[in-house]
Amino acid sequence: MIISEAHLEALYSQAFPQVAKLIGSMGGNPDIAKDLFHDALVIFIEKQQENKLSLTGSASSYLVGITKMLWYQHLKNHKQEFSLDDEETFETPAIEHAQKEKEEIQHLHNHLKQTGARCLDLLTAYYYDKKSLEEIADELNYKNVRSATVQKYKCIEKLRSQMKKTLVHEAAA
Amino acid sequence: MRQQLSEIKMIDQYILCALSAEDKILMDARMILSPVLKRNFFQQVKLHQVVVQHGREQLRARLNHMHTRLMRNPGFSREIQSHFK
Repeated sequence: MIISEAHLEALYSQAFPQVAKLIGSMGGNPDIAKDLFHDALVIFIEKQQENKLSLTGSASSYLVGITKMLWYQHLKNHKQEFSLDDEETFETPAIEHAQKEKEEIQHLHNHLKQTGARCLDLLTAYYYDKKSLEEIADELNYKNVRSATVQKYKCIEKLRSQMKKTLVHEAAA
Repeated sequence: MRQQLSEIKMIDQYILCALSAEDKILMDARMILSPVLKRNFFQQVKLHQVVVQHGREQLRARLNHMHTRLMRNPGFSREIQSHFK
């Protein structure tokens, strides 16, 4: 990861009190503040790793701003009053499809954690954590970068095959 | 590298937008001609989504540990709790 553990902890120590003050002032509780702050951190870290982040202010200000937007979304999602005549309460086919896709990914994830944990960790290190193959070869004790590269593709082959079997099994059930 | 792994590498580069424009067009044409290749492509895209989910789960676990660790500091914990009535 681009952001080190020490840097992340320093950012957390600096930004979370500001987030707590914001969410507390708007009627939220400590658990909500933590959950929304973590959502904001995930967004921040992913954008940074994809080089899609261009900060005009401090990282703390960015995190507080994102958390604020997530808080408003949280309030909207938990709106108590709705009318049966309100068309927005009915799920459209697009929303249903997106929800079904999300559930399928979650199901596949749960299955692959059981059947292909080591491969999943290798692929996560490369595609999500953006570690280099040199780092991966070193951490996971591969002979060299070429071995790690071949293993990466073999893991994709293995997990793809397991996903196919899971989906076929589900379809047959 | 055997053919199956070569195909996986090609799909991987397509997903990561690392193919040249010509190779991308060639891949698109091959997927039209081969339903198996097309199916494998979408399976690999799905696998990438699973990897992202896994990465996020691991990151959230790290953040939860970090939160617990920081909240053990009485000064930090008191400051946080002071904002909630």
